[in-house]
Amino acid sequence: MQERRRLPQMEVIEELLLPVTRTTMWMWVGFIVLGTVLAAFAFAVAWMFYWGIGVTGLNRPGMWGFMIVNFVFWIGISHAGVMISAILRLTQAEWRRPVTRAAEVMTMFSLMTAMVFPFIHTGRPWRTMYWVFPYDFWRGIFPDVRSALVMDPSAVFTYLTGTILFIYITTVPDIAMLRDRSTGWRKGLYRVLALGWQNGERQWMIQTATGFLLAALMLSIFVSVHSIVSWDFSFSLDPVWHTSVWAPYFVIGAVHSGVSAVVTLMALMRWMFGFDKYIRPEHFDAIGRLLVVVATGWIFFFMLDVFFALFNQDPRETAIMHMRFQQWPYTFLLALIFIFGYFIPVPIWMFRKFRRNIKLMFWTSIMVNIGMWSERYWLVVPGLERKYEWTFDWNYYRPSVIEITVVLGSFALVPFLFMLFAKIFPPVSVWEEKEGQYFATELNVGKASIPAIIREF
Amino acid sequence: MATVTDGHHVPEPSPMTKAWDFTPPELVRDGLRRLRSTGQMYGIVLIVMAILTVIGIVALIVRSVASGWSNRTDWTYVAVAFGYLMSTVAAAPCVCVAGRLTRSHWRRSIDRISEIWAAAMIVPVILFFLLLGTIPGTHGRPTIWFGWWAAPYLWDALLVVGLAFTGYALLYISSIPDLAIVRAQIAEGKANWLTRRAEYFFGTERQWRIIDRSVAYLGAFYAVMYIGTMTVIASDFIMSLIPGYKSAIFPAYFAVSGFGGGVALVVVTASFLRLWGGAGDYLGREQFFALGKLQLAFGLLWAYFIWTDFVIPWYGRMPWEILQIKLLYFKSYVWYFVVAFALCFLGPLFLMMWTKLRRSRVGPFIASSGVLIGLLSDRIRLFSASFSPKDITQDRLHVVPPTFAPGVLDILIVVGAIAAAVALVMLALRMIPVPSIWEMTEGTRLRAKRRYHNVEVMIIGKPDY
Repeated sequence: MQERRRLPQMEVIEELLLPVTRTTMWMWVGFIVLGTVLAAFAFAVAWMFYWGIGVTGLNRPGMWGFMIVNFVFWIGISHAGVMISAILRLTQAEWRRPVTRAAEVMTMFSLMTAMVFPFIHTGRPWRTMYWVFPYDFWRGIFPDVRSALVMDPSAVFTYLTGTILFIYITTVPDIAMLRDRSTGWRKGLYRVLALGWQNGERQWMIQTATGFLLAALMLSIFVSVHSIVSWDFSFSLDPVWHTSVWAPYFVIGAVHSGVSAVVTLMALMRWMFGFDKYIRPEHFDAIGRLLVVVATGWIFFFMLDVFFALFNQDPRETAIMHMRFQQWPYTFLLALIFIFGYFIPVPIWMFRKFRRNIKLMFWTSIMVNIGMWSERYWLVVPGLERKYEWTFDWNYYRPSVIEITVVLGSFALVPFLFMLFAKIFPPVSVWEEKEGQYFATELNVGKASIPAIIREF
Repeated sequence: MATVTDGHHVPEPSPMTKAWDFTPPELVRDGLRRLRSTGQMYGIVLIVMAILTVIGIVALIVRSVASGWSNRTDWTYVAVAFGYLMSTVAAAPCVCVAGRLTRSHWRRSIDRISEIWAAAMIVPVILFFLLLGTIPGTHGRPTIWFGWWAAPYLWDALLVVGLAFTGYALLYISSIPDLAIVRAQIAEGKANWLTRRAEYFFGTERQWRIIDRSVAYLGAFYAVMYIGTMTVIASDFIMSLIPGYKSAIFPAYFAVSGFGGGVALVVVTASFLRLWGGAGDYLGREQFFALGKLQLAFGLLWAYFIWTDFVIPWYGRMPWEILQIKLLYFKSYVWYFVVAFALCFLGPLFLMMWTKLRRSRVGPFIASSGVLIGLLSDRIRLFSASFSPKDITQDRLHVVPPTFAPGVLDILIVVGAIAAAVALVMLALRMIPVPSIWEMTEGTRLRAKRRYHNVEVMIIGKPDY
């Protein structure tokens, strides 16, 4: 039985434009709640700027704490967009249609949120400008382009630029549709952004080709970004950080958390915008199957990291692994990583019945991201807490209330920005959904009628 | 050329959709025909492979008698043959697993080609048992076993034998419906032992359900087990034999490059079957196009993993890390690395990035042949480097061991092992229909051509399992 119902074009347009045309009660609730958290976030950041970095739990040698963990986490979430959109677009997976736009937008806002953290982590962000511009060549110091700390902003900015372009190119037909249906300032805005789109055959060809090319290009950036983030750590000689597996391990972990975040978003969009006809159980089923593979890949890399940290029994690495496995809070975090990141969700996702249960998918996806945040903390923070050849102290890191508020704020910032986006542009791609309506058909095999699609080449 | 009708431009049907215009009886007839009649070429190739296998076995016996097991370096090329077959023959069945899990349609004519390589799994298993005598215990050297009983011998053996057993089981179970067809079509008393194994399959709904699920679960288990096996081989046969070499990405690299080798082997086999095996009607551009994309993806992954393996010690620049890089990349085995880099990464990248070449049948064949050669070079690099250091109990490498040059016996062993694998698969082709009749029949029922406005399009059924 085909879950997709053939809908009149006007109905598709009206329903998918609902968040743009009307602010539902749940959206108001969302704006108010998230806005309140964001106000606390702004206050905490201002407090930190005023009093300095001393209000955080950072110390010597534990100088990378919650904010860097959060940076890594949000960069990870940002991988959902490309994973869902580019890969599924290139492989022509039919179920991608209702989720691509939301995933891409989440990528953009996650990246922006991630970039806030290294910046505020400096404590005096306005001085960052003086560290970079004008570069003091007169002292004979040149930027070390081999440093991951130079590569990192370049990669993240490239990813952000690519993502914005990608979203823009894939949104142009929808913007043109909005232009033809709006008045006032919105019409002006959409007219400028629509770039004269008239639905011409040539325009469609260019748009499709550009989308494919950008998708292919984005894939390489997608892998490089989180690899480079991992090299921020791995290029150092710090035990447990100086390991070759972190690049692909970070990437697969990012995909795990990012795709789970897309599941969360899909469920929220169903509930908040009433997109039941477009985001259907079959989509949760497909993404659930994908998550089983991704999660298993992630746990494999996790095991590689642990086993090969202990492989040659270097006392320094063994000491940190001992701390990770046997000391509070790392033991607790380890349990969260295993239980929330893999051992509860994956067995659930193995069953089709559960994959099609939206509430269950929502809660398991939340669990995964709790596990993945814990994993980032488990990986990053202990690495600096012990004394080595190059450090003179031995200390523990405990986050302050300010840091906790800032981190919570980031979890409000992304959905808040997403909702703002949804007020201006459709959060589900209307033209792709309409195209999907045309491609969906049925095939008679014996007495049965089964869902079928028209093959795209 | 496109034609013009009623004043409208009618696009030519995509060449990707031309194959598979069969009825189920035609599929059965064709499958049986290929089993019954083999060309002269088949016989000649089989004889050549058999002769090479015998030469390889003799070389292996001479090696055992002449060198014993005390000097690990003498066994370098046995390890190369083992590693190479694990990276190609053992990896090939994973291609059908991936296709089945993603429910792709193009895979149907490829599935049997990929899983039939499991028939040759006995060859790496034999080589593995011969190599076990050269591997030291876990005492005094880095290991992932942390004091497990009888490690690494028992656990490595369990994994390698378990993988082979799972491979055979996968091949057998997915062949049962086809073997039942063969049984039903041949005269009484002429059934061979394999066909008799399908005695109780009559195609009831329950039996089909069991076959479907068994193939899916066994396939997934095989893929997971393959990764696990390659991880311990990488650790016990390579990493722990090079003092100070610690790279957590290396086992993953070893497995991923194996997947690339598996895809390459399937492409090359499909090309041969298309040209000389009478399977040309089943193996169209669609299959090569899809496999070409996989080849490109694995080429890129090869480069990514090798880069991450290289760049971390390169940045670390500790003295032992520099020596390790020199051994594996720059000094002793530089040319082996260059060949592997060119054929496993640059070849697939520059050939398969072009859609036109990917859609051709020649492009993927050339890229895949290159990958198979490059992978051999890579395995020579890795196993030669790991079987060279004399004292593996040192905590770090202090000098770079010289390049190991193979003798005639070494080359004969490698050639013999590869020939044995090919011969076994050729024998299997006489017993099991390739491509799979039942999967092709299912495929033809789930595909239909329909007119969409003024274009003929392909409709693909997506049953909701």
